[in-house]
Amino acid sequence: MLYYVELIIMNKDGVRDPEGETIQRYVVNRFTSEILETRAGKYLLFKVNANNQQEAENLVRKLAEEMRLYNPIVHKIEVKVIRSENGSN
Amino acid sequence: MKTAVIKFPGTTCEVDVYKALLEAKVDAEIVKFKDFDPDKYEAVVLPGGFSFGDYLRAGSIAASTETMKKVKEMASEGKVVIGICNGFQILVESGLLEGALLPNLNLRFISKWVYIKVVRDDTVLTRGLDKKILRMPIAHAEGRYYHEDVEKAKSLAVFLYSDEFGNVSEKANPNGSLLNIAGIANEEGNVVGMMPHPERASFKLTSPTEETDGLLLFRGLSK
Amino acid sequence: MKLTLSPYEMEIVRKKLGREPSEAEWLVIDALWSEHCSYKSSKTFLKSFPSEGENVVMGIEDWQDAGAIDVGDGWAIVLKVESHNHPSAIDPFNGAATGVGGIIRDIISKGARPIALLDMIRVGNLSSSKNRWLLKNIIAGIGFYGNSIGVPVIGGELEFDDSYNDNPLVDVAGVGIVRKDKIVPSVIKEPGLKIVIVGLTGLDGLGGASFASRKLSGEDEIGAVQIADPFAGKIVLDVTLEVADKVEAIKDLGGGGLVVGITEMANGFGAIVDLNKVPLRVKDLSPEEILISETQERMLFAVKEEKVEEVCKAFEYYDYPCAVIGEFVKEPFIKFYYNGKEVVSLPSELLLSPPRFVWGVKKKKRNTGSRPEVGLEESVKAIVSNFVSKEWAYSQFDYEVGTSTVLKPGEADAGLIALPNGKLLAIKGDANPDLCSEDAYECGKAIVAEAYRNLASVGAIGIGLVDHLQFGDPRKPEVYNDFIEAIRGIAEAAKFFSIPIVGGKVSFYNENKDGVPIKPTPLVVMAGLVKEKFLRNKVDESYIVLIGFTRDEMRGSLFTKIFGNYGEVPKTRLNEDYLASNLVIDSINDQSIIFAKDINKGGLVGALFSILVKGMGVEINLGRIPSDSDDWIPKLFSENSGRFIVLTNDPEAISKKSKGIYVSVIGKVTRNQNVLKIDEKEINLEKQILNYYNYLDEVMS
Repeated sequence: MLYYVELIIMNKDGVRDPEGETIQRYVVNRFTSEILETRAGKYLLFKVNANNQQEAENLVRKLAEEMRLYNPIVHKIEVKVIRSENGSN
Repeated sequence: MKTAVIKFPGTTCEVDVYKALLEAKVDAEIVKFKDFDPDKYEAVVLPGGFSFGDYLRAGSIAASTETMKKVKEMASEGKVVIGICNGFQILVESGLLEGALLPNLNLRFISKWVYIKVVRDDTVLTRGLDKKILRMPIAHAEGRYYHEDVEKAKSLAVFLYSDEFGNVSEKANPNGSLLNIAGIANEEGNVVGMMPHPERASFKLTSPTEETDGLLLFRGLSK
Repeated sequence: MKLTLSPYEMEIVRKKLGREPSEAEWLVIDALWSEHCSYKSSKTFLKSFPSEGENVVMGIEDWQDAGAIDVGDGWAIVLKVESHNHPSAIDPFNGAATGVGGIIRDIISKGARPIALLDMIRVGNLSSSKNRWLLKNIIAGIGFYGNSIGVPVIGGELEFDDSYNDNPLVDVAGVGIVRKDKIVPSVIKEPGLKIVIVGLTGLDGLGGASFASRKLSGEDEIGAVQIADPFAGKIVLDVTLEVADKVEAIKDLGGGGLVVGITEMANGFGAIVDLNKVPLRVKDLSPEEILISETQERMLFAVKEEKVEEVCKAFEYYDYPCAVIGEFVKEPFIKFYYNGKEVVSLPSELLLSPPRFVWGVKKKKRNTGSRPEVGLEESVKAIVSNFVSKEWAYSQFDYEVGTSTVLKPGEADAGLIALPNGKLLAIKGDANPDLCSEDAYECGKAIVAEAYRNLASVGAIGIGLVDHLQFGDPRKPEVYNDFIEAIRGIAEAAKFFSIPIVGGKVSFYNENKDGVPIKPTPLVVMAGLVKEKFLRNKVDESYIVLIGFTRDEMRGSLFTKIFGNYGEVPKTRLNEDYLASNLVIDSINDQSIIFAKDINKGGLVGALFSILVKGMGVEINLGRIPSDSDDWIPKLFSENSGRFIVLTNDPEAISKKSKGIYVSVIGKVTRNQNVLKIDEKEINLEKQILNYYNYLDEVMS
């Protein structure tokens, strides 16, 4: 079964995010005062061959850690399966 | 032409451009972005650098400033607008030039001296130019030109990356730009954007072969 | 609460203070008394450096952040070197980037405009993926910051050695230019000035200064990571230079954060600071966190009351936060208040005078070996395989911004930039850990001599230098011995060449988790002026002339590193470096040479390789190399100092000018591409030359 798995890499809370800050200060604040904070990150989408959703998620997590897709000292990750093919969600 | 050289927060090349314009006998001055009054100038140059840190996309934040609204007015009045490197990125993000500038194909910043071939002579920089193969440096991470309509891009192109003999080959393309495009202009020719830095090819002492091809382009502004 | 203070130091504090300091006060003392900020294990010996000279505008006596040298016409340059070794091991991208940021801010604190950067990087063998990851991100980090703030990286070093596995050394050097009469001090001369801070304070790098003074423990070191924001750095750069003549003193906030900045700026006077006034990025920071946070891109200004508004207005133009947080006072106490309560009250004198330490020394035992049995062709190929083009690295740096870069990276043995008064400034950084492991004293002299020669090869004479002393744990007697020996060597050479040492840094505790120290890596950065002409190297058919005398002193060389250590340590005969270098400069000025290269790593063969990679061939005769030995090994591979190879069509002209240094025609440049001919033996180096050009691109992709 094919699973689409998202990997979102962001700076840990408490670790500075200059990109998010700059977008907030120079773009968002000029547009509205209802948006209070902006954080920037990196988005990767994987198409995974796996037997079930948990397996797919675990595989991506393992990839991220062992192949240094993110630096665990500064980044946190979110792994989410968003849909599957050839079967029900 | 009285020329303004605009400095956004993060712009790094304004002094270099100013020095080169003086060398080309152009009446120029550096203007901070919030203090820009378009009515005082006939031409404006957006220099290279990292405006607003290049955050989000290079040139994207600068493109939405009040300053760029004024630059758009100048362009529609037929005045001259030149964008170099980050300036080119700002012009493309603000819609004054068509297309987009994407990250280099090898995903790295590239700093090197290249050759560019001039393929349009109806722009303010290239009118009456005898020399058709120019030498100048590039230094950028987001310089890959892209346009959805290849034919349109071809008609707008002003400079193409080439070798020293003018061959527009894949080998001479440093960043994967469509058709080797290094710079384009609008149809009228008064708005020009280019990734290479002519101001860095305007002084003998710092040119590897002592050529000052950048001055040839800037002379277009001294009339 | 983790402190780096020893029980001995803590007792001294209690005694001097007459009471037990509060937790906040302990943190303050810990920061100011850290090795990184106080130089407590090194200051005693650093005072032996010759720091005076007629061209020195500010020297080490001032103990400020950067020393300045007169370059004529009312201009002075500011020279600075710094490293970010420990942060770069954890987060190489931000560690290296913030290293660049720190140097830039140190330069602008003098009111000087940064005009050039050098990067000197040492990592472990690239066969390990961790080391590749480190290198990739270090280079990316330096490029990220340097390019964004518009200061060209004009040269540097990139070296590989196993002792740097997991402990990369990332040294960044910077040059700034300033009008002599506009240099701004970093300490106040009188009380009553307002303290102004620019930038927001967050949680970055907590305990960073103490972090640098501890060895890498392998724990979660997140607090020590500082995130780089070069856009903020650029705003700080531009506006600080704009307001430089409106303030009385400038200091950048680096290691130890606000508390160190204010205490050092007060320089014996006192300060009263309201922590509630410090602009924060993160809500609810404790007063301790505000005190020692190492958030980047913040500056401290000492400003007369009537000028404060003007100064802050300049920063607010770019929406950059600016606030008055206190003032300097006569009473010599550093006091911080929070929510109306006093949280810190410590005497300035206590904070600025940690006990000095002179640790024990012991000489290292050296192993001896015997001359290895190895073939000529085999050894030549092994040696030149170690040379790789650094283009992969420097093409990621914008080296043209500023339109002042005369010699491009990789073009020569020194960087060369044009100054506003038309003069040309050469700059080069040098270190030699392999030699320093053998004999730190000879090595100290050798690296200064090498820098002197490197500058001469483009036509320049040194006018000032800064040093960076990088060692392991100073409490280990063998490490401390190397440290002192290196200082002796560097000081002696600097004195001999009459080149003042105008500043420097010390970085101790460079060891890995297993307690193995790095090779002793003192590094010097020398700046010099071209008096008449500069040389842009060209390779063409011509005579190869060897200037200088070759000695059988093979220890610490690349050859013995590969084939086994033996022999004697090369003794740096400073007068030979002096004579050889000045001969080269004279030959550049009367245009009798087209190419000059000093001999260092890899010996004569290493130097000749730089001709071979330019598409020409080389032919030499062993019998024509003057030496104290008939053995071909030292003739080809000895790295003893005081030597150059130059290319010329008029060797006579050079001999005539020599003031007692050997000048020998040893061969010629041929059109036989890729071939090195030694006597009758022809060695084809095509494979090695391809490797030179492709190695980094291939390994790092």
